[in-house]
Parts: sequence; structure tokens; C-alpha cells
Amino acid sequence: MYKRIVIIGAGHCGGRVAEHLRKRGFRGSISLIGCERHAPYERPSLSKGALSKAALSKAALVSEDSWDPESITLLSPDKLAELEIDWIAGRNCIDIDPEQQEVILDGNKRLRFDALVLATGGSPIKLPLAGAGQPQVMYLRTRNDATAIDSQLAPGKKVVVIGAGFIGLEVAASARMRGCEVTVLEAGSRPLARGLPVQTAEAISELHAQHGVEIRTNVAATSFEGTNGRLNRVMLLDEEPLPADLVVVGVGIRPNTELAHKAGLSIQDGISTDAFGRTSHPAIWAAGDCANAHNSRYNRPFRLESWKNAELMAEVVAQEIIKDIISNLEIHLDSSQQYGFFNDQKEQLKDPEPAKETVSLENNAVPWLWSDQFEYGLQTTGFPADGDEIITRIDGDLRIDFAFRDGKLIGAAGLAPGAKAARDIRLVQMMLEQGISPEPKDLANPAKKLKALLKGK
Amino acid sequence: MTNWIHVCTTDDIDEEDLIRWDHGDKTYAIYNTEAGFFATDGYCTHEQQHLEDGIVIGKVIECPLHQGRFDIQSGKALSAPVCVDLTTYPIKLEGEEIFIQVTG
Repeated sequence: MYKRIVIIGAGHCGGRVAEHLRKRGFRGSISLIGCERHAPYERPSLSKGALSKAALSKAALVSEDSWDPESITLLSPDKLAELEIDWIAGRNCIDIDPEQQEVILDGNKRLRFDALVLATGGSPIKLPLAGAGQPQVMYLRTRNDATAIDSQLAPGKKVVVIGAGFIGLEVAASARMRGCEVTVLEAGSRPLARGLPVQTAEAISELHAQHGVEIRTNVAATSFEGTNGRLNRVMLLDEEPLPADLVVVGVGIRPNTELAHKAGLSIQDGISTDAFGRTSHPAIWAAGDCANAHNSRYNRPFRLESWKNAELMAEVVAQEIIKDIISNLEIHLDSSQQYGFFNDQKEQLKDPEPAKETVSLENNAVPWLWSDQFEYGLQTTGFPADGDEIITRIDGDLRIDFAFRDGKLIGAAGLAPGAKAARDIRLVQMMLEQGISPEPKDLANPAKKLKALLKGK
Repeated sequence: MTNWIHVCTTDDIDEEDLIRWDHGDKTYAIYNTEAGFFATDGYCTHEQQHLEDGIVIGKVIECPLHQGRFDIQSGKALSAPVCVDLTTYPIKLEGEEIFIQVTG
């Protein structure tokens, strides 16, 4: 029986799972448990518009102070009520009983589930350094985190960002746009090593330098010093201390796997799932940042921390739960819904109709993500940091670095003002989806349109 | 009242592509697809992002920001995250000249 679906994690991914279940006609109960007080929201703007107060990729179009905090809300409390989603806010789930199929909330409240979705996300990796507990040493993951950082940004403030990954550099750009003096410290030898080829990373470093942000590599912070409870400098290994009013740490997240561990689920850099988000327990699913999903296209699992992955996995998991319901000949589906599968129960029994378009990690899982820094938009697809050869294409103010490995195209990163890199990166994503690997000399030539290369012309 | 307003010529838009066209205080997207020329509002209905940097795939426009999709001819929202349809506008051709019908 599929009467009760419980979703742990009321973030972007968890909220979308609930929404897709309703869109696809599920009429049973949906409990959406979130430890935050905010209704499900999308995170990308937290390091961009929420801090810079401008829509970064559209800086040319939209003036400052135009950012609306409510614009990131995915499902408002009213919408949740309309969809009859039981949103349990500000509560922690402390355990899962996989035998009884129950989740246990703080206060010992127990909820039975027929299907459970873990959309628990990730938590920022904390720096185990002396003085890191001071209030001016901050991390960015939640809406409240963004509000707290935002309240500290002001012209002339000395901001030290630790970690030159996407989040760190987006925070740096936002703080600089607010008039702060910004230094980024990276312990590794270059910025963005995990996500970008060195050529693109250098272009982004140059962009930061032009805007007055200093990115220092091979620099390790050792402690944070303050007086009277007020941070004033960052101590560095073998280098002069750095004055600081505020430190923002962005050195990555760890997937939240504690509950999955307690439930005895298989875990390996996140909650292991098959290509459809199902964990090692048949009634438990995982999606989003916390899930390490097998991908048949690449024939290996990977865990992606991106908006797109949250969207895609939410849809895949909702679809698979609905399929499960159909295969179990359950009847809690509303045929009047747009995505309902059948007109009556009899039809359901003999000829269940698949959804209009089946979403799967196989068909849609060539990674795609974006980052906005200053007036520039970056988009990447595939695995651009994993190439053994980089081919660069310069087309006016649009730069694309194509990554090849063993002679085959495996990813690309595009950087341009606004959203100008989007179209070409989308075309590369389609090349990767279709297994098309154009000649490097053609990709390097801006006169050769990528759309034509995609079509083999 | 409604007016037919000259936009551009057919050569100005590549096949399976679109251009941005601003008129008055509004901005539009004008498409050249396998099924003909079409016009919609310029901005995606999800966030304030112009569709001009998006990609035309057959009769579908995909927003550059989140890859939300719309049917170009009907304006219908096809896939998450977009859920509000795009407004469409009539287009007519006179020879190689493209005209759009806008209200006001």
C-alpha cells in the first residue's frame, strides 16, 4: 500500500519531489520534514543576489537593490497547503526504523511511511582551527546564513574568503560589489580545481583581479584572532597575518548521511542509489546533494551538488515512486490530474500508460551547472576539469574551453557577460548526450557554429 | 487597437534561432523555426531572464538560465522549472518582411 510518503529535507529537492508526486497524481499523504523554518527555496541566489543585492548575471539589465528575497521561494506555505503537503517545519528527524518503516522526529514523534525520500542535502565542512567559533567566521548554506553574512557586508569592510571554489568566489564577487575589500585564500595551487580546467580558472581569476579581488593560492589559514569577541585577523602559515572583519568559509560540503547510516543503508560519498534514486532499502529513496547515484551513461556513480541535479533527481524519484505504485496496482492516483496515468482503475490494471516523457538519469545526466561572478556568467557541462587536452574558442567576449580526454570531448566551460555562454554550452551538452565529438580545430574556430557541428555539418 | 509593426526581414534570423526585438517599453523574442516564424514575450516566465541567449530546438525554446522549455508556437510551458506559459503574438510575412501584431 502506498498511502504515506515521507520526505526528509524540505529544501529545493525535497520540495520538488513533493510537488512532482502531486503533479503525477499521487493522492495519499505527503509529509515534508524540514529543520529550517523557511518553506522550500532554491539556493543558487544565496551566494549571488542575496549578498550582492543585484541579479548578477543580469547586472547590465537590473539595477542594484532589485533583489527580492521571496524570489527564491520554491513552494510558499500557501502553495504547500493547496497541494495538501504536510510541511513539518523546524523539526529534526533523529532516526529511521527501516523494519517498521517509521521515521522518528525530535520529541519522539513517529511517522509511518510506505515510501521514504531522503533529500537531506549537505552541511558545510567546518574548519577545525582555533578561533573558528567566533561569530564573524561564517559559513554559507542556508537562507539564514545568507542573511547573517549580508548583515555584515558594508563598504570598506575587510572580508577574507577561505576556499576558491564556486561558492567562495561567488561570495567574494558579491562582497566586492557591496564595496568590501576582499581577499580569497586557497590552500591548493589554483582556484576552481574541482570544477574547471586551469584555463577557465585563470580567466575567472583575471576577472576577479580586474574588480579588485585578490586571490591568493597555496595559502593556509592556521587560526582566527580577535579581541573582545570581535574578529580582527586571520593567521597564516609562514605568512603575515591578514586583517579581517569577516571570514566566510567555503571549502565544500559533506553529504548529510547520518540518518541513512542509522537506517543501515549503503553509503559511499553520499547515500548510494541506483540510476533511479533507490537506495539499498526498497522503500527508501535518496535525491539531490546527498545522493550518490549510479549513472548508466558513465557506468559509475557520481554525486552532484547542483541545482540541475536537485531538479532532475526530484523528478526521477517522484516518477519511480509513481511507477512503483502502478506496478503494485495501487489506486491513490488522481486521474483528473494533468500527469495522471489512467482514467479508471481497470485501465490502470491492464495497461498503465507511461508519463509523456520519461525522465531518467541516463538520458539527462550529462552534468550542467552555472555560476555568476560580477557581470559574467559561467556555465559548464560534462566534466571539464577531467580533460588531458584543452581546446579554447574565443568568440568576441565569449570564451569556451573544451575538455578532451583520450581524444574524445568530455566537457566544456563557457564564460561570457550575462547569459551569453548558455547557448553554446547547451549545444555541447547535447553533443555529449549524443556521443558527438567534433574535431578540435573546428571547435577552436569561432566561425564554425556549434549547432552545425552538433548536426555533423 | 491592434497594429502590425515591422520587425525585421527573414534573413535577420538564422534558421532554428531567435532574436531579441524591443518595442516601446516591451521586449519580444522573434523565432525562425522549421514550422515558420513566431513571436513571444522576451522574458522567461520563471525568472527575469531574456530568452535571446536561449536555444531553439525544433519548435521549443529553452531558457538559458535554468533550461526551462516552452513551445514556441503556443507559448505553453513544457518542463520544470517553468510552469507559466509565455504570451505569444501573431506574426505575418509580406515577402521577406516580418510584421508582429501587438496591442496598444
